[in-house]
Amino acid sequence: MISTEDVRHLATLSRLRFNEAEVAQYAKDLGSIFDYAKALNELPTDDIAPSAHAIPIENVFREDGVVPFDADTLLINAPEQEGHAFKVPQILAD
Amino acid sequence: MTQWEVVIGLEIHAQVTTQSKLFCSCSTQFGSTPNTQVCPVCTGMPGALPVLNRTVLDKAITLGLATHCTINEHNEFARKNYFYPDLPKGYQISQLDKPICSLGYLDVEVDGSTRRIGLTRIHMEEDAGKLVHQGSDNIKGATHSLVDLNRSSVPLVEIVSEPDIRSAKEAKAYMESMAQIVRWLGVCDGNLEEGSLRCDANISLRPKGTETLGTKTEVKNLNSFKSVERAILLEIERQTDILDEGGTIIQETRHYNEATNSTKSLRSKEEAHDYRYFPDPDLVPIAIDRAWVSRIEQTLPELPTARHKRYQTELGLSDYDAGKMTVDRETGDFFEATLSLGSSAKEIANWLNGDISAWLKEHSSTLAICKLTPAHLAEMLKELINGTISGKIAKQLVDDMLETGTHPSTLIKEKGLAQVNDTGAINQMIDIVLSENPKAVEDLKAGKVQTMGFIVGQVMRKSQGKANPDQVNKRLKELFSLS
Repeated sequence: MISTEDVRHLATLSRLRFNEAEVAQYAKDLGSIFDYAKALNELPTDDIAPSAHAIPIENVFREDGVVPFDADTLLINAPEQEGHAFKVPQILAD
Repeated sequence: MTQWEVVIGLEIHAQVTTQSKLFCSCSTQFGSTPNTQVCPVCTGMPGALPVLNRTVLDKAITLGLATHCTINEHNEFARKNYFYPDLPKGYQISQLDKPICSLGYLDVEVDGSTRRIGLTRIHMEEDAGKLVHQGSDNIKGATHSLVDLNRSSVPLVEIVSEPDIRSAKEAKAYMESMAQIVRWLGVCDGNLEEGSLRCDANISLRPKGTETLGTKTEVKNLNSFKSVERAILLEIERQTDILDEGGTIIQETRHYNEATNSTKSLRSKEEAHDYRYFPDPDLVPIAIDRAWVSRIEQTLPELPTARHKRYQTELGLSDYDAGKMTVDRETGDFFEATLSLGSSAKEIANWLNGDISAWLKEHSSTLAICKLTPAHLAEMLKELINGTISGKIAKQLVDDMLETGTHPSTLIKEKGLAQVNDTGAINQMIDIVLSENPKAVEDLKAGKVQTMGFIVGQVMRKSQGKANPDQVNKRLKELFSLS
């Protein structure tokens, strides 16, 4: 079960705005997704060590060294830029 | 009135010294044009994959070993989710319940006694970008902000202490000691001005003699040793005032302003922190075996505190001199190198603490970048001890060596600085000086010993500092039967 409170909290954390009808709808939809995933709880996992990755793999590293990237291309998609910086709207209002 | 006990824990963020970032090959160089050291990984472009920089791991293990931590065999990275314009991915890659190091300590000298400060953990994480607020000097009045992602994903270790610190002075000493160690190990350059070391303090008060922790506040933006001490003093005073009047402390984050020496509550509209940590599926777990740890253990240098003690017990240096000679790795190594060439510990310490450090300060230089070498200093000290040069000339020589990097023997030869030990030449100079100062001669004849200093000074002047003052003294005593 996902409560409407959960949905409101999640919406705030995700910076999304929903009206009352949407909140109710998402509570229902998310609830059924969670219920579906709950099917996994039926699997016996007592003998399985918790894992942080989908496949058994560890220790993938790179050596410390600089490889320059053409950084100008990264600013192409910036909605707004000023000088060489990404420009963002006011962060905190008074 | 209730007596309050102060309880402080520090979180220190240290930038790990590397060429490239934590998860991509962008440069970590400070001070470049905004957004020139960025790539799809550190700007959070969809599909970009982070790969861990092995050097960061090695340096985190080094720091853990030096601070008596357990190095955890199994490590994971986790995503800490929150929205802020300096965080392009919408999450920071950090470590949560599987950090690299746990449960260590650091012994800190405060007022002549040793305090053991526990370390809860040391974990690796990436830095955020830099925001420059426009239209105001702070975020609240700003019209908009500019984002520079050069710093995004620069490697950090966060060193979290236990709430073992009991005063602002102890907090400062702990921070200084940690800064000395990370520099000594080459884990971090310790440059506070460039933000390589930053500190947040968790502060609470409780009635003396009780165990339960009081409500804490977190003071942020402590970017100098002085700030750590001053901000904590302010916060202790603020909390004491509230509690003495029967009030309660609100758990909050406060921002320290160095210019005004005040703290201000950071009321954020953000809900209570809810970071929804989970293992980062883009990064694979890390397994550190015993062999890896011992390999690093073997490269661990003698630490400053151990060396400080050794200099006192084995070399007979004073506490002050031993401290000065271990203030940083370059001084320590310079001292050791000069020592190995046969100079006396006390002599080296005197010169490094005196004329050399004065010259370096005046020229905004350091031992690492100046032209003086341990070999040159050792040679100069040898010439001084065996009487080839006088103390006065030695001072002049050190300046020249620092300035030009010329070998002292070359300088002595080229500039004719060798001390005059030739008795004939010295006696001749004394005769001239005496003939020029009949009044002084009368005084000496009358047994006025204090006049001797004047005559010695005149002879030294005439010889441009090269006459051996001991010989001048000896000769004058003979001439006037003084003792």
